[in-house]
Amino acid sequence: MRAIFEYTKGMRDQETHYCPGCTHGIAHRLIMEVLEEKGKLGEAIGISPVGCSILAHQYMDVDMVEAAHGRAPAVATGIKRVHPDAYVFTYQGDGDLASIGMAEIVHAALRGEKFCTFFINNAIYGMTGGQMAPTTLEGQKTTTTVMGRDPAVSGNPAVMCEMLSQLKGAVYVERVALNSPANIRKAKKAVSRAFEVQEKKLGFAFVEFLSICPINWGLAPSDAMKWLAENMMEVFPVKQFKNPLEVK
Amino acid sequence: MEERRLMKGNEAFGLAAILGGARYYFGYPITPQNEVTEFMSRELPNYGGFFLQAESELAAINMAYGASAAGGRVFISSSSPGLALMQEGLSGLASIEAPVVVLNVMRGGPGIGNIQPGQADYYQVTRGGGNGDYHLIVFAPASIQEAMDMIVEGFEIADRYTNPVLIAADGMLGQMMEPVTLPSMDKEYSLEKILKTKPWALTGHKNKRERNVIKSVYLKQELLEEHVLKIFEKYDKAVKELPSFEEVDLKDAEIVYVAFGTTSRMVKEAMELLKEKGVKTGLIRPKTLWPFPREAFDGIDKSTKMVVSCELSMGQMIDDVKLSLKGRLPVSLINRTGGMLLTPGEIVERTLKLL
Amino acid sequence: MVTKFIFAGFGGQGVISMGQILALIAMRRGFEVSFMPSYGPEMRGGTANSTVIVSDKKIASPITDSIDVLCAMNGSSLEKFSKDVVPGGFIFLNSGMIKEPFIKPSVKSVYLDPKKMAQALGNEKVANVVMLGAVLSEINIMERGNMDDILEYIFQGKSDDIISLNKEAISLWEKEKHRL
Repeated sequence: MRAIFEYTKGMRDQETHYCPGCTHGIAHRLIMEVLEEKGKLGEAIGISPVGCSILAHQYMDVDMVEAAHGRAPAVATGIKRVHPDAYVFTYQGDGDLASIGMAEIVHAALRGEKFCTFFINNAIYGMTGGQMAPTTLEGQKTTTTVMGRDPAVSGNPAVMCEMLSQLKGAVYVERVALNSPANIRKAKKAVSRAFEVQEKKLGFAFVEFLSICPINWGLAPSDAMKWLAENMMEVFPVKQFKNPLEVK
Repeated sequence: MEERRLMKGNEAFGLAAILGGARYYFGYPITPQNEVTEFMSRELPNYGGFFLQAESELAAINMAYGASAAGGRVFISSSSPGLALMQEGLSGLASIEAPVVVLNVMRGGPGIGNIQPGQADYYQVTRGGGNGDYHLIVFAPASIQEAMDMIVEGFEIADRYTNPVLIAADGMLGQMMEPVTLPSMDKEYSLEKILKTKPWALTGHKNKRERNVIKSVYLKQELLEEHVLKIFEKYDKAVKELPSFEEVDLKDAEIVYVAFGTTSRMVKEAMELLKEKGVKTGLIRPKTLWPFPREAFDGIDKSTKMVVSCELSMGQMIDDVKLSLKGRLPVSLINRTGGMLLTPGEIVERTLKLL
Repeated sequence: MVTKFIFAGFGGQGVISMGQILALIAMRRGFEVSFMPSYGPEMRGGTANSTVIVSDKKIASPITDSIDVLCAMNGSSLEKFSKDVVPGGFIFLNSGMIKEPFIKPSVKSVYLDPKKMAQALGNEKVANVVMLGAVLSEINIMERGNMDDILEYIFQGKSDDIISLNKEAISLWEKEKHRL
């Protein structure tokens, strides 16, 4: 009998700690699938952040290092200097990347660092229990914006793809969503292109995944998927912002 | 003997790092250590190394963290407020057990302070400005030559203890010039060779070994305690193996000074001046600040009536002096702070007042 | 035998390089030496100074509050440092900037206008080297001898013109002092 589906090689045979309905597992798997298909699991070095995915190194079966909160792009920069041919990627949530680590991600993009960043945007702080994220939507209720996010007080959502795509060094920038099988297939293509950009040493590659957090949003997973499509996609349009010509 | 050359401290520190095998340097400009960063940008590529100007000290230490985790031989430098920003990374490096040599060209504080020489980072470097249970191994050079030798040795020690080593110099040592003889560069520092000695480094598993995971998170308290205890086994060893000091004229001394770094040189001159006045003094100069050379204090003669800690701070090392003396002798402080220097004349004057 | 020098003046008068050149000369002559510049805003704000210690033994303090030789390139430097010059010491005064005679008991004052002398050589930029030449000529801490090889070492990589200009500048006082 021919096997038509196998457990992703890059994922370790282990249950994750993620909540029911969380999309981290999908994002993890897409990255590992792409590396597996490229035959590059043995060349990969991943950097896990502080946030829900702090334990990503327990699940991804590649060399991994944990970075302090927000510093993954700096850590990746150091690694890439030592191993310029390795497939280096950071995996970061919205608090890690767009709040405390804003300087590091912007400067990595400015330098055109030749690694990939996979950015999980679920508009909330998950691990610390549902506080406002830099990407929390206007009016969205969190434990630190109990009346809803008020731009007059806490500003507006950070639109990372729009920001980073302005920078010359960020050559590949795409926002995808993990809310439907079709979108997940598109997301995988984006991951694959991002690694191709790194492989060809063209510059910095950035993929933002619109994700859900059913627990902290207080929604059932299926409702959370709907909420993502109806609310997040308006503020964070799903599209390819930049794609260098060299990559097909 | 190799030819002596007159070198500025900061440039000599950079050269020593290269001779000691550093091939990765990440820096952010801050006075009075800018010549280190400039020197590395100019010279490191000539040795096949990589220089990068980081966007902040915070980024610099985390780049160092990445490069060290990837097996590279890494050197970084900063000055007091910059080192404060690096504390997160230093705690992290100690926890992931990665070697790196950090140079702190200390200046006046607190806050932004000024750019004149200071020693008020003693607590910052020996007590751990970062969070959690860890130590830096700290050397305090008194001359440019000694700083070069300590930097070269620092890489060996950082590798041996898989822990950050900090060189606590000050603005005076960074800005002054002295003749130096270069440490020899007889070793080969190819990455390939170094990686053979670092099986834990991130390289990609190449489908040949289990993956390497470098982490400092241990959510289960039992595991974190176990991890910390393991690190402290190394520190116990360091306390036995590393303390180092210089002692001068302890025999028959009435007063014994304790001073580190450049301050010890002003003290030495003051000792000569006091000798002319008939006052016998001795000196203990810690070369390692952590581990602190407590055994040095066993060498204090019965003739000694008082120990004087001389520091460019409000008195920080004096805590270690008191701990080492265990109450055996009274301890006084002769100090300046805020970037002011202790001149030999002032030390003499204040010593005579203590008598 | 330890000799402590301070070179002080405005930024741009070359007091830092004066100290560096002396340190290099002393090192090449086999002495222990330390050079300590003033640095930072002080330098940019106008006044600059450098301390050079020359010794036949290992040098303890690279800074000093007892100066053997002060080289004051302007009035404010004289004011700041002259009180620390020890009996038996020297003060070299830039008479182009300091018009009032300066007298300190048991200290020898030497007046010269190095800028004017350097202009006679055709390049006032070497005024500091002229001044340093005077210092080396008047104090006997090391055999002067021929400094050509040392200057060639110090200015290696510079043009022959610059090297010969500096050679002339450093020996100018020695040659001219009896005529001045």
